[in-house]
Amino acid sequence: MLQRILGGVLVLLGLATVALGVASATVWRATDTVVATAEPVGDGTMIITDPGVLGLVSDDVTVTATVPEGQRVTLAVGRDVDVLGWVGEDPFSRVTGLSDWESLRVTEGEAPADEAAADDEAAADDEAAADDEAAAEEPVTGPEPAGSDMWVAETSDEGTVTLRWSDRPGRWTLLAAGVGEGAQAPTLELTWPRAVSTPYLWPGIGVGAVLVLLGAAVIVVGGRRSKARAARTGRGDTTRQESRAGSRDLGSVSAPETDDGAQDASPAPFAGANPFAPVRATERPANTPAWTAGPAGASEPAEPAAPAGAAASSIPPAPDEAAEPVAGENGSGTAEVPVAARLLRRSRRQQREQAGWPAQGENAAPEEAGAVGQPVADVAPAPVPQPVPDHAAPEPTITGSMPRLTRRELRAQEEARRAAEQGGVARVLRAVTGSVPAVRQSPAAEPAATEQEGSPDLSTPAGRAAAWRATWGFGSDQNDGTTDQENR
Amino acid sequence: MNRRTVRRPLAVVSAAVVSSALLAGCAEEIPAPQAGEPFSGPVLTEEQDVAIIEAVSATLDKADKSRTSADLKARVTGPALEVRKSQLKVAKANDSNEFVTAIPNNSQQMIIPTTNTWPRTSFSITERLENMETPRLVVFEQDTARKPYKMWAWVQLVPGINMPHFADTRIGSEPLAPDDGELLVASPADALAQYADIVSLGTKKSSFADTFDLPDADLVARVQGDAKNVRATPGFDDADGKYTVEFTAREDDVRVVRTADGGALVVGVLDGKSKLTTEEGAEVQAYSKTQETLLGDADPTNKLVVGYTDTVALYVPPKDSGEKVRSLGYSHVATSASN
Repeated sequence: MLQRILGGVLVLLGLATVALGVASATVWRATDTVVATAEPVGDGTMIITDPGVLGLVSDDVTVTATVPEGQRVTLAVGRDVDVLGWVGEDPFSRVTGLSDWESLRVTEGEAPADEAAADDEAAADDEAAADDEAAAEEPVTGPEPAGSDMWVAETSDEGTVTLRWSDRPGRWTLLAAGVGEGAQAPTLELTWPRAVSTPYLWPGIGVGAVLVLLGAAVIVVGGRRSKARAARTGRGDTTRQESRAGSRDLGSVSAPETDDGAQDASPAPFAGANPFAPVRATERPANTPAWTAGPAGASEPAEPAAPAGAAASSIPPAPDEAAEPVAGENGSGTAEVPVAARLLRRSRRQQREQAGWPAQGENAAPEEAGAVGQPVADVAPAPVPQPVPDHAAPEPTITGSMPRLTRRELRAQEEARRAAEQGGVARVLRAVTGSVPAVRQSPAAEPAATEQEGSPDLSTPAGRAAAWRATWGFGSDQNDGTTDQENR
Repeated sequence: MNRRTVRRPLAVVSAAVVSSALLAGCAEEIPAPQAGEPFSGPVLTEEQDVAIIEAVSATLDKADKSRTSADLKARVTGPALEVRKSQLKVAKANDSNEFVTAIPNNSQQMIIPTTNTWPRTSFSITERLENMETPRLVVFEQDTARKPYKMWAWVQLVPGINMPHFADTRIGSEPLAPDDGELLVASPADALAQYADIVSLGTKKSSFADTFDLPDADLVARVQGDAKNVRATPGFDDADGKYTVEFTAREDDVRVVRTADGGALVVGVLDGKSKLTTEEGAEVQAYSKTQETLLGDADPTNKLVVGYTDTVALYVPPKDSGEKVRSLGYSHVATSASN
């Protein structure tokens, strides 16, 4: 149980990991581009980027600068000294890097001290340049960087302007300037393409798959273990029964001699059968529908099982030492063995009933009557409840007959179980649902086993006799039984 | 059973750790800007320099056509502006661009400085002209960062001279201060002053003639040749004629760049003045169309003073080379005349 829960948890965890891995490559996949914006700070009409900012994420960058409607904006890329030299003393904003993936860090730039004075003086002196580019130069007017010989790339337009730049070795700096009267520094937007990898996709799927398999393995192993445990306890019963069967046989042989001396000692096997039939007779009224159904009664697994248990319990506690363990086993076994094992055992009992009783109770009795004659017939019609408690004989016969049946049934059952276990779908289903396999599998496998043995034979007297013989372990079947025992 | 139950929680825990580690890995680190190496190479690329040359040439063409000196201002400055203004004035007066120096817009060699300050000076040697005139050495200057490069001066190279080699445009050439003669046989300013002395006095009288390796057709030869011609004019001595020339180097207008062999290319301006006087009553005619134009309709007198704005290019070799200063080219243009 615990194993199933833990296995389930592992499976869920694995599925979750797979989901996360897939999500990392789909829903949470980083965008192909990094878009970062910079708002200018302080005064000034210019904003520049520090060297290295343009190539921050990748070498190719698309710069977009935006100024309010109706104003002019210029973008230019140049060597850092050139740009700083051009900006000179004027106030400007400086982009120093990324503050996060969506915004750039902007500080107020300070002008380098060296070229300040010369710049101003020259600007005042030279009206020649002024009439071209900054004709109406007023205090608030943003100077126009466009047209300088120093830029390696530049563009200029109204409102919004875009510049593509492939970074190259060196300290390249972007200058964005609002131009003209009442200009203000533009807002920068840098867009880099990014090679987005999905590093967690396959690891996630791999780890998840491993977890799922691990969980499945845990469930399967757990299921098999519990089943094996159940089977072990069940087999323990039967083997114990069987091992005692030998002694019981002896006991049963000896028992009639001592207790039921009136009856024939020579037909020792029948001595066991004689009292057995009445027991069956007592049982039969209790579950007639089941018995009339015969082998088809396999469809109802639980009900036949219950009477079987009832039959076992209904058998009065035998004074015989051989009978005691049987009752004790049944009682203690049901109490101790877990559910699965109990069900397994029930089904075994049911098998026993289906395979054994019809061959014995219905058919064996007449045959016995025909073959053996009176003693059997006499006992068979006798009122059922009475003989059993009265005679000590029934108990040894029960104990004697049970092992014979059990051995055969165990073999068939074991085969069926193995076959069912090896079935791929059934196994997976069991692993997933955690259902108890014993109940389902045995009925499926069982009819075949019984059919092979004797069911077609039942229609003819000879077949019935063969079935009876097989059931009781006469002839070659007895040898088979021993070989089986050896094999086991 | 026991071992199993112990192992399973372990597996669960390790799976949780692994998956959380994987998720934590999703948070990519924000890159910091990696500033490249500081620029130490040329201030301009070859393409940029070509663009500058073409822009200057376009401006010159425009001004040549309109013959208005105002059109020059966008791309011409310094001594070149003075000279060009004068030439355009003459051209306008004569309705001919005959005496306007042609500056080709091509370049066989660009000399680009390496500097991080202003002013910046680049040089260019043009191809030979179509009329087989010698190539020009043109000097461009960017005064301040916000100004464009402008033509500052030009000289016509002397035929047959041996030009020094310059660093490749991808490496750039180091600009030198006019008074930086540490590694040179003379400081550029001194070399220019000495050259001016030779131009004024001639190779025979100047004491610096020995330190110069002068070609046959440089400014010295030109000025002294002209003087000789004037003096040899018939009746010059009879009219008690006196002809003096005086050239002085402008201290500020010197541009120097280092050559590949460690020497220096010096381009400087010489202010020249020639003065011709004769006895009272005599009349001195202008020697050239330019002077005539510059004189205007002033009546001839017994005196003629012509002012020149000359540009010269010198090669000052490195100190221990054992070479002499060489004259590479000049521009000799009369810019004023009076009597």
